[in-house]
Amino acid sequence: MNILMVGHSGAGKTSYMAGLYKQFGGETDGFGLWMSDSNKRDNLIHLAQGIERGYYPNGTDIASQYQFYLQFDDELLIPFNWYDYRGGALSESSKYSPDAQELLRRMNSADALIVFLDGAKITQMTDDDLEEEYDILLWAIQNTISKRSSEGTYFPISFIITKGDLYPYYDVLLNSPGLNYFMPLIKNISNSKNAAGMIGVVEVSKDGISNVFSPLIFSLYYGMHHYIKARIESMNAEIEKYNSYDPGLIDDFFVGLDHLFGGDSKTDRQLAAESMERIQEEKQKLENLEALSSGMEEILNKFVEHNMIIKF
Amino acid sequence: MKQLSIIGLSKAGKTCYIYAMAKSMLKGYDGINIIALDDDLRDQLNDGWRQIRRGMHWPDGTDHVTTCEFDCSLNLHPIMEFCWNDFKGGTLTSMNEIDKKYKKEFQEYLGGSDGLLLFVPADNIQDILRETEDAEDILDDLDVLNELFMNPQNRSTLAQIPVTVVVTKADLLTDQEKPFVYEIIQMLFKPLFEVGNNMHTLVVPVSIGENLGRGNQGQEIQGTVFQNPEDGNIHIPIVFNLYHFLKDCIAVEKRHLGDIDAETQRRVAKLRAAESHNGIQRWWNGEDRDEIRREIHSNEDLQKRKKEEIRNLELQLNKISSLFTQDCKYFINGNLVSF
Repeated sequence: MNILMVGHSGAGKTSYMAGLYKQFGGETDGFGLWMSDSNKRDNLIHLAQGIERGYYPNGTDIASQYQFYLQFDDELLIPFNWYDYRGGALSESSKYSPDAQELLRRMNSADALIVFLDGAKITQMTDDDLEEEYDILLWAIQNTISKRSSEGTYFPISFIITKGDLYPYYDVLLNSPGLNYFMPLIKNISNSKNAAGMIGVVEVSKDGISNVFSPLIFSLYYGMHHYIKARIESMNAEIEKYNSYDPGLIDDFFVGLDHLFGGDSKTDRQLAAESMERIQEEKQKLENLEALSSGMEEILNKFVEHNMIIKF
Repeated sequence: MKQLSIIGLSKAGKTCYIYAMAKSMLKGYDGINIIALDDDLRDQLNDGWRQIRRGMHWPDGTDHVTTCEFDCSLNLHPIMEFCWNDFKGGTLTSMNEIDKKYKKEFQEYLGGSDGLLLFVPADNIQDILRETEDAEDILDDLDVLNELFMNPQNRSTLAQIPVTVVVTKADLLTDQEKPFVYEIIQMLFKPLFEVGNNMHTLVVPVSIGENLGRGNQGQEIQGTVFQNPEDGNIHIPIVFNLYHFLKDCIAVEKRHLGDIDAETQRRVAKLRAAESHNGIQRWWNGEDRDEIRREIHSNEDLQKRKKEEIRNLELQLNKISSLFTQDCKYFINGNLVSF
């Protein structure tokens, strides 16, 4: 599945990624993130170390894609792509900018969106600033959800306010002009049968990292139906294959003959047994996903209970 | 995709209207949103509104926004796509041009419509009320349009689609003049308000601000442009078309439900007949009671789903009905009605 971060340059997407990986990267006890690409892994660790010393990353210059696995107790569970992109692309027309084209394509194929709102700016924005910054984002989000509405599942959108460490209390952020600008959309999501939303404030600074896990779990919980669908399709295809085999003595005989002449074909009996094994594996994966989904739901409920997120 | 046909002379305010509409419906009302289907169009409309709102300059008449496609959704669920199609791209300076050069094209254009928006600027209404020098020319010009509407083919088309008379620049009108707007419109466009014409016509005054004056193309804007165009009834013309679209959908779904009901009745009768027969008769007639019962259950499920769909559509319709303001006057068959 694909999770896409959207938000203007400097909103804190890259810092968030670094903070998330610092807290959960390679974690083998409970939930964790695993990434095979060592260069990207080292880059994120390097960024996180910089943040610990008070040095924040520059605005994202190039689009980056991260391929992660969500893992639990060292077991790899769900693969997902996490896409970061050049912040300026949001303001460009797809007619003239390949980056804007790519961004629109990514949004249309995303399974979850995480919208980053710059906590340092949203409390002070004028009406003109808000229009300038957010009208295009509003359009892009609505365009994305509208295209996904026929799927019959909830499309998850997380509104993440960054730089929460700049404020002693979050009330000023939750009542800010910036977040209020999205209120009509938030109300629509709340009344919608196509989308689910959450609001959370995150902190990634030299003083610590807080609440970075919530948008990931929220996105995976609602977005993993695609992954589950793929598993079910895979299992059904395997069941069809299994049903097509016709084990019997005649088949055994001919395969035996083939072996006699140096061939390596398998009997339908053997193929059926292998197919059954794969079916059992898929079944096990589905059961794990069901358990995972319950676990995620519990975590999300705890986040809501402790006022770490607002779900709608 | 629904086709919204747009008629209005140059300087009627169509371009300003569409800039304001795109801006106000991006955030929308009560769950209803409209967005441009294309990001290039989005930027064009956005830039246009910004020129008015921040640059305080009227469009200069060259940025004709002739054909635009939009998606309309309710609580993020798409309900209607429509194309705004401005006849002759807003270059018309007189209705006589349609009559002399584009009659056939106009007929075809109207024939392909799912809704008509007729733009009449309030300065025309003022000229008529004040009997200025231009009043007679305006009346003659609109007579030409009325003649075109009276053409049997056009008349028949107009009876099947919602017609919205959009009185633009409504902030121009004084408090004394405002009450007369509806009467003037009814007088100017008699065919649209004749009793027995089977037409659904809405008259709505719209404005993008206060004290804006008549507005000269390319000139500086005087007065105040609304921060949010929703204050000037900008949403109403499109919402009216959406209202009619939903009504049509409900009518279609109710017809389908009627067909399903009839089919269910037919199967129930078949089951009764089968139950009254003995085994040999049933075998001879090929009557399988279990199969018939399954068909009845399947139809009952279909009925439930159809009723649910109709209920949802009716809820949507109720929601949309609540968006019409007191400034809207709705005429069906020439009679003033409420929503």
